[in-house]
Amino acid sequence: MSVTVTMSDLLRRATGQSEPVQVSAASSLECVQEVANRFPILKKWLYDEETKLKPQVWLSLNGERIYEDEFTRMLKDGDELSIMLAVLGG
Amino acid sequence: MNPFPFDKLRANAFVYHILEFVKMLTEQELQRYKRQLMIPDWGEEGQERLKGSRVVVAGAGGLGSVVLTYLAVAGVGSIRIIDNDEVDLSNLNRQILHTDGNIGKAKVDSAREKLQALNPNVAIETVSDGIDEGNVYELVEDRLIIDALDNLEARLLLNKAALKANLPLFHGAVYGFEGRATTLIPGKTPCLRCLYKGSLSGEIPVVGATPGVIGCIQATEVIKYILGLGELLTNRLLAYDGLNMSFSEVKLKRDLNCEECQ
Repeated sequence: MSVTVTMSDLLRRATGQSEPVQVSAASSLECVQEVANRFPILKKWLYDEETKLKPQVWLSLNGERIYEDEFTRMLKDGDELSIMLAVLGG
Repeated sequence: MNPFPFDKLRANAFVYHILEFVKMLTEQELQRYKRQLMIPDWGEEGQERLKGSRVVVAGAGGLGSVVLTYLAVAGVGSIRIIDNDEVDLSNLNRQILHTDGNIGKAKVDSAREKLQALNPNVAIETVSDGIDEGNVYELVEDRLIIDALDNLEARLLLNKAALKANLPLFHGAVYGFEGRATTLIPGKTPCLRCLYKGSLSGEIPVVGATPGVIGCIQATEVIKYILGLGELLTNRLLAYDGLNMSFSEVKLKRDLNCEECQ
């Protein structure tokens, strides 16, 4: 499936990529993996030492927040995935 | 006959618990708030609602400084501030209620001084204490909760109190040039625990204008909630990107596996 991936400021700047990224992936989880493979610098932000997605990674599919039990659902062509990090500065 | 002219307010389930009684405005207050009284559907009745409202602002830092300022000048009648920190020089790029002369002083005292100077008509109560499992319910009571904290643990305690007492929680968070805000209503929106499973840790970078933007959004939400005006930022997260100078929204839903609200 061809999916458009956007990232929040922190991740976008880490990649030096200002435009959305097109990836081919079957699920949101695969999508994130594909982006991380393309931009290895993101791995420290996205994955823990056991290569599990960190709990502070927020995914939104077509503008709606999704949770862990939805990460492996099949995507369809044209879906848009957004990756954000939970931030808590006050 | 109902002596309280708040039928419209009571019809709004979001704001049913705000007011106990009418607080009439003085001539001086009518003058002070003249420009906001001119806003359609605000009027003296709305201003009286603000005067009769009780809020708790957790955190008197970057977000808290801004939220507190705008709630105080808007005339929210009773404001409780919680913060156990003291003013440090490194706070002053963003925490606009504090000045060089306040360094070493409790933030709640520094904040109260400025707020009382800005608007002597509002009651400011301060708690220079940390938030923990043992005190959070007493600190919150029945007040609208403004989450202007900087750590997940205390934010989640506020969330627990909000759920238990069925109170709205006005959430904001910042990092660098990024900020987020949402309004959480028990039973109607996700809770904070649905959204946050973890967060970035450590000392965060931030430019003062970012909590300025997000704090203003939080204050706006609180005022709208009290007045029953407009559309609240419920079931959606507003994400601010200062570098791109853009706002975007993420639709929010409850996490059906949430350990806190399910």
